[in-house]
Amino acid sequence: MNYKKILQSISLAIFIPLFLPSSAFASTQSVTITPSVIKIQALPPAQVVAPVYIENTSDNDETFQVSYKPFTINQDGEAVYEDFLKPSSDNFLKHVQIAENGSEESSVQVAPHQKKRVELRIDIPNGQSFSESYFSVIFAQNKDGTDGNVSNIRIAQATLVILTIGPVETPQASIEEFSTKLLQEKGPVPFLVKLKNQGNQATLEKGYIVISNMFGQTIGKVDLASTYIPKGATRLIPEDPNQLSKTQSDTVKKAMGGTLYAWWPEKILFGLYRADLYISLFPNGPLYQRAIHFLSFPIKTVVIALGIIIILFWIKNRIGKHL
Amino acid sequence: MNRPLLFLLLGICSLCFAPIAHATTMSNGTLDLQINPAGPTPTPLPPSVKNANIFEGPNYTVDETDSSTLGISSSSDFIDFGPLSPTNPIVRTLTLSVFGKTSRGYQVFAFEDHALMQTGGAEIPDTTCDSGQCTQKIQDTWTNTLTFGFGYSKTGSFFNQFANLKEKKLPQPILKVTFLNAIDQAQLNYKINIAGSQNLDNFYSNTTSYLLVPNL
Repeated sequence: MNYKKILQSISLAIFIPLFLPSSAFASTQSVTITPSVIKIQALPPAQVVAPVYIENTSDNDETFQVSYKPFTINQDGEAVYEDFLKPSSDNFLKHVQIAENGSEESSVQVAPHQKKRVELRIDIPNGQSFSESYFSVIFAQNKDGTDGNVSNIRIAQATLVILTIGPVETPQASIEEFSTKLLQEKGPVPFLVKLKNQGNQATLEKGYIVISNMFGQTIGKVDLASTYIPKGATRLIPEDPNQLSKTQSDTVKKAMGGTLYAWWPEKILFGLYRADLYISLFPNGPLYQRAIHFLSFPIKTVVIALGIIIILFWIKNRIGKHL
Repeated sequence: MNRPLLFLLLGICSLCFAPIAHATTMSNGTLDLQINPAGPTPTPLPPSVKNANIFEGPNYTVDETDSSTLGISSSSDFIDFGPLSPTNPIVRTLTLSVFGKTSRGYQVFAFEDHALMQTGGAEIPDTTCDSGQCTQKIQDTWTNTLTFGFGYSKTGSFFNQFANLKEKKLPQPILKVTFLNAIDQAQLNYKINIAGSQNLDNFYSNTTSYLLVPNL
């Protein structure tokens, strides 16, 4: 009888969670806009069309109001909205629109859990002067207010657009810094990768760090995130988001106070290592390289191991004397 | 006497070879790692696998290869303060979630369309905190029950005003994050406290917005 009860309890403990909602967080309104960044290169005249996806990840019908806001970029790659309050008809944004099924829309309706494709359209007339401009397309939830003493909550998300009008220029950038601590007690290892744009436009299209041990064997590789570098700016380059692990993310937030590093997640390290940075400003090369070396010695682990060995040796000697 | 030394040597050797064992589990991708590490000589790369998100048309190219994915959600459609009572502060909590993956980070900007307002036009002003100094950029403590207004706090004790668009205030970033690997959650406390002279003939309302902006 007792076994039956135990088995029943175990079965319930296993199966009940399977029927609980799997969502990790409760929300009543939720949206995902992709892509996060759109880069456009055009020569006038051009009728640019770029797909944008709005995913309503909530259980309710939602309408998203569309607006366009110019921004500038600071050294950390953050958007700065100085002209947020100006109407978009005041500038080049009057040539920008979101279209659904071929017609311009000021708002987009999205059903629950639907991912809707719309088109960002930009009309670049003949004679348009060469320029580089930044603007965001903002999709803001739009719904009726609630009665009562309330503050209605509205969520919104921006897609950033980098629009370059003019011929493709050869990007010019330099590796300002590639470094890590010379002595690492343990992993993961943070690499500081700093690139400076010395031309008009530059994007790190491809970059990675290859790590070799003291025997010359390749033991790790860190892909770097494709990163846009504004004119004259210096940017820190992190690892590709697909290489992030929860541990690294937590480590970064807690220990490094927000500085962008490219992390090699290896935890157990010993000896001399070489790290080779390869970067390219073109999707298919050329590739440039720089190398650094670092040492790793797990001081704490070695001290503990030595301590244990000494204690064991001492115990053995004591027992030997008594026998 | 020699045995402990032998153990010590064995221990150091095992630590020494530990990183080599990890080489078998690494993810190496498709890139050729036998690139000559001798110097800055350019070497061609194999064709990019990201080209599926590059679109070309007459006189233009669109690059949507950015691999960040971001989304935002809130725990509620509105914050309901219920009946208001003079010098009786009301605090309500909103949970804001940002989910997805990015290694470049993001910002969340907050703003309100106007102060809490009745249909007739009476307002509950944005709080200036106990010091009279807090704004949409400057935070300060707000514990005095004789300090009136409306504001929010990320910490529970320090409050800000929302950037008021009607008063031409620029939206302010309330969250700046450099990494996202799954989900970040922030709890925001909305606080309201009114004076005895506040008109209570009608409801007060406004709209507070949260704008998620990825970093470049």
